[in-house]
Amino acid sequence: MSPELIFAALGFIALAVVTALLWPRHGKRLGHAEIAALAPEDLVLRHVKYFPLVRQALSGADLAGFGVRIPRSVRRKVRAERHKMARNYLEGLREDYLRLERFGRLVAAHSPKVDARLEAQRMRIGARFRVTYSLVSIRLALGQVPVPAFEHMTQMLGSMATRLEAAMSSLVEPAPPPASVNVGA
Amino acid sequence: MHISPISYAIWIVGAPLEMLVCVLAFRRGLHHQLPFFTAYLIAHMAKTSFLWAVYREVGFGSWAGYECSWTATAVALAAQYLLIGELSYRLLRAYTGIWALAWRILLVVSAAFTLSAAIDSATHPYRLATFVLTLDRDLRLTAVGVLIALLLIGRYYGLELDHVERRIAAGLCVYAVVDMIANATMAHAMATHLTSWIGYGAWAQQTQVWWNVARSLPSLAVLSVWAATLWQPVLAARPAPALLPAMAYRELSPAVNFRLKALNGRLLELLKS
Repeated sequence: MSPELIFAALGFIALAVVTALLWPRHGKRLGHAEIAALAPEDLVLRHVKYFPLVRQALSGADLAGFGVRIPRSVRRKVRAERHKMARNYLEGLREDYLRLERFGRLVAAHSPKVDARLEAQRMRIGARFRVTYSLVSIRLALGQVPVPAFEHMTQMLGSMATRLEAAMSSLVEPAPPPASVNVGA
Repeated sequence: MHISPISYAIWIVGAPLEMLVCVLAFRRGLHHQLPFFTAYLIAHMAKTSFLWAVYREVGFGSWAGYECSWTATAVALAAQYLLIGELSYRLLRAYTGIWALAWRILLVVSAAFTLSAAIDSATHPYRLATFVLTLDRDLRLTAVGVLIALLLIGRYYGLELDHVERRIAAGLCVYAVVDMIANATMAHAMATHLTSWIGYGAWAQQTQVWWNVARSLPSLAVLSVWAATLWQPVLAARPAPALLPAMAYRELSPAVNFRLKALNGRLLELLKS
């Protein structure tokens, strides 16, 4: 390919990228009030708590118990529902991840000093997570529902949530008023 | 070589448009808020007037015209870099932690691109315009690369330019991309035609005209967008963000990363199970 074609292609790609990056994203912009509104609740992993229900639904025992009495069409339908539920649950975990990641960026953006190593690490983890998530999604789309792995992931999320919420609480709790100040009448 | 009628037409439209944008920028007080943008507009306007006078005196295809043209282009290019620096500073300055990280990243990106430009242009023969065209082409690519790096950093941390700055950045990108493609095409065509001197003069004259037209028309479009933007009142300056205590980052960031990493690890296990 001749150099002018290469540069023309580069130029059009650059224009497309810049247009996409300059496109206003009102919902996703960091508001100045947002940092003031940081609360421990931001760190709650909302989808983890649904895991017992999801596990019950995903478990193959119920189908096995019924044995051959279930018609094939119903069996297929139940399996399809299970996969749908697994996909929804995975999507929920992704939401939890993205919220946590956004929280990390928010804290970094509003800090007077950031550590390049930690920022690079978060970027790397984010890239890896997106690749892995895509692969798990493909696996689910192919009809595999790894229930024990889902359970393991959920337990891990729950225990980490508790630790981080404790750290967050210590930061956002208002300082107690000085003992000498009398606010009474 | 004389100035072609189409070049005359572009200059007749372009020069007043440049002046209008400049006047509007001063009227909106941008020389206080965006001094390098105002300097960039002045540099462009001065370049147009200066080259107009030079070409009228010494002709379009003369060596003096060639040297003046590329000197003026170098000044405009420097003004473009300063403007990108100004946009970076305006986007990130309030976020001191991110700014301290980002300016280093932008410096590394620009150094890498500039080094590549130096190596690339050095491999071209130092005859006529091929060396200069290649250097200019690669420096435009550098400007685009730095601009994209800046916008990516802004997007990653959820920071956005305001509507005036967005249009300025978009205009800069269009300028840079158009010049890059025009220079790449011209450098390649020149290198091809230089092998045969027969008919080179006539070819160069014809090509030069279209090369100028190709660069000027998008410039007119960008100037029109800038004029329309500055015609309306410019928004007030953004309020400074409330920064967290330094302890917050030290406490939370490693915890967040640890959690993200573990979550990613589990997802990987999910994949392997």
